[in-house]
Amino acid sequence: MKTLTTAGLILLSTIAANSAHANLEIFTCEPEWASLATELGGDRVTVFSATTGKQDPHHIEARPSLIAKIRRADLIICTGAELESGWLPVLLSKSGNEKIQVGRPGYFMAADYVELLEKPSTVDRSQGDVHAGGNPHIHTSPHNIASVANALSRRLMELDNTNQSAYSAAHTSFNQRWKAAIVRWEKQAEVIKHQSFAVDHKNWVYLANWLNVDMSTTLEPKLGIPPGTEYLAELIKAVDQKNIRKVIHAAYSNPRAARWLAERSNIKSIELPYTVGGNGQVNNLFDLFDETIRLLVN
Amino acid sequence: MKRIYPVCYLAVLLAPAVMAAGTEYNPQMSLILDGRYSDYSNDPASYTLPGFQPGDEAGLNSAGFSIGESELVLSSNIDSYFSGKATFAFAEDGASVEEAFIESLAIGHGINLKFGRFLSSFGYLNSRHAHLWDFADAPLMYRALFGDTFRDDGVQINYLLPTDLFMQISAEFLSGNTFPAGGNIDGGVGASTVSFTIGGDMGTDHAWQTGVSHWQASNIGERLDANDNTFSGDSKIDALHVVYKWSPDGNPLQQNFKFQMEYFERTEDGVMTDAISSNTSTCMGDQKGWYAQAVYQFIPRWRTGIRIDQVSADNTGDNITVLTDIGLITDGHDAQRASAMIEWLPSEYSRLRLQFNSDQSAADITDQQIFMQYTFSLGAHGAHQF
Repeated sequence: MKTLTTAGLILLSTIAANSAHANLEIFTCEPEWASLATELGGDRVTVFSATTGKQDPHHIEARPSLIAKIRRADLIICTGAELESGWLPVLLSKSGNEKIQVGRPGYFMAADYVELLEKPSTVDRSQGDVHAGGNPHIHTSPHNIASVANALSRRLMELDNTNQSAYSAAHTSFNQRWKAAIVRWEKQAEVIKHQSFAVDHKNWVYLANWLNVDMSTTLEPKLGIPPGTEYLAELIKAVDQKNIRKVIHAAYSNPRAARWLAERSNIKSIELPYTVGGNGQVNNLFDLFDETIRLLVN
Repeated sequence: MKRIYPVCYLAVLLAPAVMAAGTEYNPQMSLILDGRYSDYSNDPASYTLPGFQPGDEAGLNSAGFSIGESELVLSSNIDSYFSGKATFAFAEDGASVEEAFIESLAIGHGINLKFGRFLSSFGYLNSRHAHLWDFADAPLMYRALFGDTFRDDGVQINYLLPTDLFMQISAEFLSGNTFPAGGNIDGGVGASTVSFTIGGDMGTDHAWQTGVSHWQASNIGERLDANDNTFSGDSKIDALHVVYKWSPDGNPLQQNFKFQMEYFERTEDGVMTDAISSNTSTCMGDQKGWYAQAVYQFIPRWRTGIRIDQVSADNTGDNITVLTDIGLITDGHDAQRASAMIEWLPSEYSRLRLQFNSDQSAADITDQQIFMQYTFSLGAHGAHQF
């Protein structure tokens, strides 16, 4: 019982110490949302990203360090659409944090604010690791980022209503720079319109849709399932038929299959950053698209 | 029919949540199918673990083909205040409620309340369901102390400190009706646990967790073992665990490594009654045990691991004949076991495992054991704790 009494005392003292907070503490599941939160929140927010650009957001361990971080968050920003279903539910249930539970103002899922592509008509695991809600890799289109920014800015104002004008100004500024950048990116990507690319995983559906390029040839026969030799042979044929010149893989994924195809078919293999921090050049969302388009075009 | 009742009750309980959420994935449902082929050089029915009273489920699986426990898991947020989860196990001899608990969502301040029936958070492995274990069987000390796992009905309170380092205090107040407790004389709280766990990262590649736990049951009225011998008195267990995980860039999908060890020490003070002779003896038990295991995923979809187990018991009393007949006197032999396994995981939802044990639980013989085990999960994508 002595131990329990000590526990009770620690509990009371920390509750008291915890009530005065200056900034909004934001926990993001992926670095793209950390970058967006920093753009929109400025120095009124403290942002922590659970993953880096080198990590596959499907497969993350619900580590003690992440539980400690999410326990103190005022707002969590994740992709949703089942992308984090292997780890986020554990963090939520262990957090002891009521503010960030499902349906609360502190729970923000970016995929709720964009139109998802590739919604399956049936979900059957024989098709691989299918996401029932649709393809969750929404941040590969800057238009989706803009939609999420609108919703996120409103959410920041709701959570921290004393700083509404500051959030509004940050949003306006971001929007202007972002729209100008989209025009620039679209112009730069003009040369690859209607071209075909092979991709490692269906990470780039929104990017392909935006730039009007074909990325339907994937190195995975089924979602989340690595290719076998038979399937790779089929791929070699597809490369010829579609006149594919480049095979893309994400910075976090194993490049082996992409490099194999590149060597066999004598095409170029490129590693796209996928998200912020995916390579040394990409420190924010603007860099992400600058770098992605540079790599696709060159 | 009695056993069906909780299932119906749960369905009714969860139904409003389904409609409110309006998705076909709420409540989350998953079914675990598990089975194995077992081979032993010794007769599994004659298995003993000297120095310990075996719990009901502490024996070995039968030789040849057998299905393990098939589990049906249902879980959902109930409203914005509570979530619920139930696990039903279906085995040869009927269905049982493995877990059925409610968890709080709305208290905040790092506090989390769980009530109902649940796997105790004592130790590390105990709160993980058997299908998530890295080996086909429980560590010897879990088998010796708990009959593989310890679950009970009661309340669990967790408090997570608001620190960068993960620090959690947990306490459980339990009925004490399940082994190794066994009916509390005074009623009320028959068993309790308290745990303290810390954990963190070292860079992006390394993560760790360590913790201490204490379990105790005072005034155990009648703890029945698998042979109907009884113990009454006080029992205390202290435990320590260390877990370390490595994955390059924090990406476990390609390669990962996990080391895990636990140490237990139990002291008991009470009276033991032999079921056959009805003779009694005082019993002062001092039992220690540990296991250490390492599992390495060397390429995607393939894992291999080794485990070493050791348990020892030093039990004394005023009637050694009784203690000897019950199997509590070990003559200085410490049970030992070494295991090795290899797994192939065709996808996240299926696993095939081959495991070898060299088991020296008994003093005079080494049992060579082979398991070929399959585990499949159907339905909702499970989220696993660290």
